[in-house]
Amino acid sequence: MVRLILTTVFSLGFLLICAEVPLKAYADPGSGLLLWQIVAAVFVGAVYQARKAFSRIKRK
Amino acid sequence: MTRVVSFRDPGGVLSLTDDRVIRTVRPEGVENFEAYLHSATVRRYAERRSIVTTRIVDGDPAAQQAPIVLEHERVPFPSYAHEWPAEMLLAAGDLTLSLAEDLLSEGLGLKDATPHNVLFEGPRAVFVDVLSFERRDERDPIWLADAQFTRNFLIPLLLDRRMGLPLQRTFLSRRDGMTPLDALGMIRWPQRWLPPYLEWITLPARASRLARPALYRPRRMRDAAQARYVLQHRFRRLRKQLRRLSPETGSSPWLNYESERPSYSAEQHAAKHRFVAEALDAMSPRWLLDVGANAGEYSLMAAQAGASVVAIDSDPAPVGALWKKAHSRGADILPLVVDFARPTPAVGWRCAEQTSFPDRANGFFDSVAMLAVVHHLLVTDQIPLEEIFDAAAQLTRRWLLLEYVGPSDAMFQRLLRGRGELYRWFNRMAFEEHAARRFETVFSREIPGADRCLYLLRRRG
Repeated sequence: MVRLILTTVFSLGFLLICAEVPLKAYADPGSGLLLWQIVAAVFVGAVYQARKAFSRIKRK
Repeated sequence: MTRVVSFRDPGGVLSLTDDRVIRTVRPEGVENFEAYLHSATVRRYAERRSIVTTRIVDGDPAAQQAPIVLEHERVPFPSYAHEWPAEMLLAAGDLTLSLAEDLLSEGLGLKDATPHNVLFEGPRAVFVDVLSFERRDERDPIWLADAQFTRNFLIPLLLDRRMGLPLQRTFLSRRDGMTPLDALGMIRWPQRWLPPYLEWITLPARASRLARPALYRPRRMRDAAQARYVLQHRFRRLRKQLRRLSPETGSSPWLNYESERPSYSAEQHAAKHRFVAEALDAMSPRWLLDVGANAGEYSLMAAQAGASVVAIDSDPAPVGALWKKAHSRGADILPLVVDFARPTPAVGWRCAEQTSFPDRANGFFDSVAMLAVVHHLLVTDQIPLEEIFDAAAQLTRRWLLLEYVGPSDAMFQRLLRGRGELYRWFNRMAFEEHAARRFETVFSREIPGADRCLYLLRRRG
């Protein structure tokens, strides 16, 4: 369980790291809607990691 | 004459030269265009004609040489989001999402998500912007066009369906859809705090105050599989949300006009039906404009007779119902929400990005049908009769299928609202005299027991 939580936190940390490459968009990416999408992506990314960790535990 | 109609994408410009649609790919767009060229998803969509057919006229994408000049197959009658019923906007959104989702497995995506990327060939949505495709970083979990999709599809459809704000009003006054901040002013408590208003409008509008430059730095996930999982989840959710906005049958009084036929007895309706069938036989229309099409009974007859039909009506509910019918039957009908008395104006930069309805329609059609329409134009919109025939003569190159509805008809009386004095001059003789200035009669027939008469006219000159 601890491992699962750590994996999740670890993945969130990675998500929040910003790569130093320029943003290539010409369509307006919005502000609040983009922020909302990032929050949702963090959450779904964490679910992915949790499921992956859970299936690893189950295999053991 | 060359007219540049799309210029915002740094990857290239789109211009119309006479009857040709030419796209010039700039150096910034070559890499993405190459990705488009080699995509299996694109090939699959092109085979079922959901992506516009394109050929390279000049340049070599393999050598990464720019400019590359492309020619697209012309969509015969372009239409815009401000002329679509909700059903068509939904179909355009669905196509955009399907493409974005299917491209994911190839490491590709769409860099924008706007109805401007979609046109309709008959009732079928066609994706026309080949520079929308881009190669994605596989660890990128964010779809930058997500906000544009919400502004252009989800919020307008939500406001149309739940608040009665017509799409025409949203898109005629806004190039890039409805922002959450604009929409927030239209909704009240407690609606603001209920889904989906909360997710698409209230929270994003409030969160926009928190935006800092760091928000726009690209995000990367640990591995590509995680990013793909996030994006697939996002597309599935957007699709579910979009489909929930599928319009219910509208409540327009004109929606059941054809099935109830308050102006015709069964015998009169059969007589009208027979006349239209005979007229279609005589006209053999290639392109027919059905003005005031309602739910499209006669548009469907014309399509069955081999015509490509553009059916216009000012009421979105029957237009949407006709699109559904045409789409499910594969009938070649493009139904549009256009008020003939107040047609779509030219909009956009220098009024040249999206042309007016008359600019597209005048002289385009070999046949025009105006069945039970003239009395509405004459009385409700107060258009002089000679103007109506002038406009019809500008639209059609040859045929005009017309129905006269006289002052003693119940519908005419209903429209008059006590202004009978103004139309004392109006009768069949006056109608025929005005028609004769521009058209000659091929054949005509009275509808038995009604102050109505049908005409097949041929344009003079």
